[in-house]
Amino acid sequence: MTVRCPTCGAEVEFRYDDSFVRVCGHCRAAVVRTDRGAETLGQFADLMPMPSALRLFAEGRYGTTGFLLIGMAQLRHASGGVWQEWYAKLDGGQWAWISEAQGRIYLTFERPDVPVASIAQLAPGTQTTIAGAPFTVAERGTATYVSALGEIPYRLVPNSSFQFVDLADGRGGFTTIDYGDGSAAPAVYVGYQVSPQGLGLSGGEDQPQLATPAAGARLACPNCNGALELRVPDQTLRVACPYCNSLVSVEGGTLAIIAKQAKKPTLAIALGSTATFSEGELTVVGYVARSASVDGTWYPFEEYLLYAPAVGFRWLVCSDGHWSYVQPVASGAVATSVGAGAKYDGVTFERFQTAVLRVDSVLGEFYWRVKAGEMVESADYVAPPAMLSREATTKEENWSLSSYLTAADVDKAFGKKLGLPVPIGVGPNQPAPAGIARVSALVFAVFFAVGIGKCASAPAADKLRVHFTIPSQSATPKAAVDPSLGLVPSSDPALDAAAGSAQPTAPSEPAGAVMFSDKFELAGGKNVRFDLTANVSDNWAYAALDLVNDETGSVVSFDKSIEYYSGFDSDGSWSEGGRDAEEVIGPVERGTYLLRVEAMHGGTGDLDLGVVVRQGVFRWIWFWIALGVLAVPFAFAWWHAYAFHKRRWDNSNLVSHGSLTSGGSDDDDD
Amino acid sequence: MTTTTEPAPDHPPVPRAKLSKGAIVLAVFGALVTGSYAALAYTDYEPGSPAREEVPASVRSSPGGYRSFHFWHSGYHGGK
Repeated sequence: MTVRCPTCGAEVEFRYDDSFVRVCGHCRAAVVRTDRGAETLGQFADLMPMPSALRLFAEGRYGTTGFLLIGMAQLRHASGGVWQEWYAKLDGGQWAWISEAQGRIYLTFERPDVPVASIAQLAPGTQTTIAGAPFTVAERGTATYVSALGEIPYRLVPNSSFQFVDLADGRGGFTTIDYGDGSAAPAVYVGYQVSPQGLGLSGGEDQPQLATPAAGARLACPNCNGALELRVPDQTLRVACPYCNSLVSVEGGTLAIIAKQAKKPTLAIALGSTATFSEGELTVVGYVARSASVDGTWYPFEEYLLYAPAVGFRWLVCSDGHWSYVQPVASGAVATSVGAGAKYDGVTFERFQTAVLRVDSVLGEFYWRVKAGEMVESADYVAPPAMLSREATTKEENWSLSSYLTAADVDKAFGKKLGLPVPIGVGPNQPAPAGIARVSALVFAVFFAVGIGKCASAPAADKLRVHFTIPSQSATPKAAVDPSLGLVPSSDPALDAAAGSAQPTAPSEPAGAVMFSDKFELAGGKNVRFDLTANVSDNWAYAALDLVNDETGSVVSFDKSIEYYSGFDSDGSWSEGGRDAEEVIGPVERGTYLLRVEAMHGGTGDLDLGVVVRQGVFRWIWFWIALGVLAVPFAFAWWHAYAFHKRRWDNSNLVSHGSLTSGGSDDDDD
Repeated sequence: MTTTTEPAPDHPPVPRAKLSKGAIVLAVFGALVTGSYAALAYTDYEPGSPAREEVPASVRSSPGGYRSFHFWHSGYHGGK
């Protein structure tokens, strides 16, 4: 159906019976069909230049359904930003709405069957159910239709405003509720965030020739005439003059001084610098000096605004020399509970700090109407090296995810040494030396498994139980039997002279009683333990033991003293020594053995010496020594981790001091 | 309405802490100590154990025959 534009008389064609408004291609009037013919609802402003992958009359496909884009409207957010809304005619005759803002595209469908709460009930952060699914309110605001193109499936009045609420489920689900001016029932649109590739777009008309300033375009500052370089001209609303420090509005292509900033910030990273982070290469387009009010004190920090067309806007934040790369997070993706932590992506974050944030000064360009003194409430939740931050006003709630970067990481991203400041203290999301807990758990588990396994498998089998009787020793030392061992001169020459000999005398070497055990069998590969007991009292016993292999004649020799003394003095009773002794030797050859014991004691009468031979005993001493050696560095590492953790939480203004191993943790243990 | 299998947008993955050098050093140290202990425990090796000697039976049967003076001199004996 073709009509004449009531404003300019140009031909206006309605291609679809169910479209309401057609924008006149000549005068931009909103032409509407009525019973009385064509009328105009007003005139739209010129289209604002916005980069878009969508084209009028482009065909697309989402899933199995094809569609054709037949119209588009541009809407201005109350904070100054502009987004586009495309109208898609589906194959089955239905309509779909495709919104695009800051590189994001949402495909939604009107759901008149879905009831929603009143706009007053849907404050930012509120959780509600839409069509049976949980959604979180991300924004509650006002928008105005400023321009349009093609055919519109509803009565769109130029420059009319409406109230809206945007909600997200954190998994790509998106809902927008159009409350209009409040006089009619709200319109609910439910859908998903999609990519241009996911829409399979093809064809369409070329965009009208718009006065789009190219990236890097230079404007003149209205105050000092200095050059203002715009790196994101299609989205910039404010730019700060680097020469006179004036904050300039560039909305609608008109430059106007908003404010003169008192303080010109000094930047560690120059505007226009490019850096490569995990999402790709981004350009530094803006800088904001902000402060956080914690317990009545303002603490400054810095934010660099990064931009890449394929990525969108990101932030590089520096606080006390601690850097973070910051990405936006959909509101509904974070689960919080009152006074507790937050959960996102399967990770539990601990509530760390709440503060009021203030903009102190800006430099560069911004996609919102930034101004000094602007304040928001914030809450930080940490799971080092990540931090979730919530910034909220009465109109919107924004979540972001910070990933900790060292100064070296930042240098590497920018490809040069930036001379960044040395970090002070411990950052909220600065990771503690990670893996200590995991490594500790693993090492000690293995160690105890080894110890318990060995202990359980140590038979400690008795091989010999025998008692020897040690006779009282002769007061007169015997001469050595084997002269080949050499004679030792007497220490007293007078004795030598009395003996009438010029030769050295026999040594004062007492010979003990020599005794032999019965033969017994020992297995190979297992240690051998000897337990000696002697009921000495104010006496000593001394035994030299030889474990003799009856087949090979090899001998393992050792000796043991047993002594025990007791009595009374001015301090009371005392005792020293003991009545038993032990010796453990390493594995011996498998075979038949006997024990040769040569012993003596210092008392009178006979003394019983008991000997028990066991094999395969668990050696607790080596277990405890190894455990001690193991524990020292781990204890130091844990102490260091605790001190690090404490220094972090000393900066928190909340009561909770977190836990040492939580949240992916202070150290890992995600 | 149709659905998509694309990853959820504005849902960046949470960075996880990488294993620190300190943890790696501790792991190596722990492995060495545990391994050494396991070797010692399961071989029943006894550090400081007296060495095995070959002594003829004729010598062994002689009281005091193959022990030095210092062997028998076992130090101070006596009470407090």
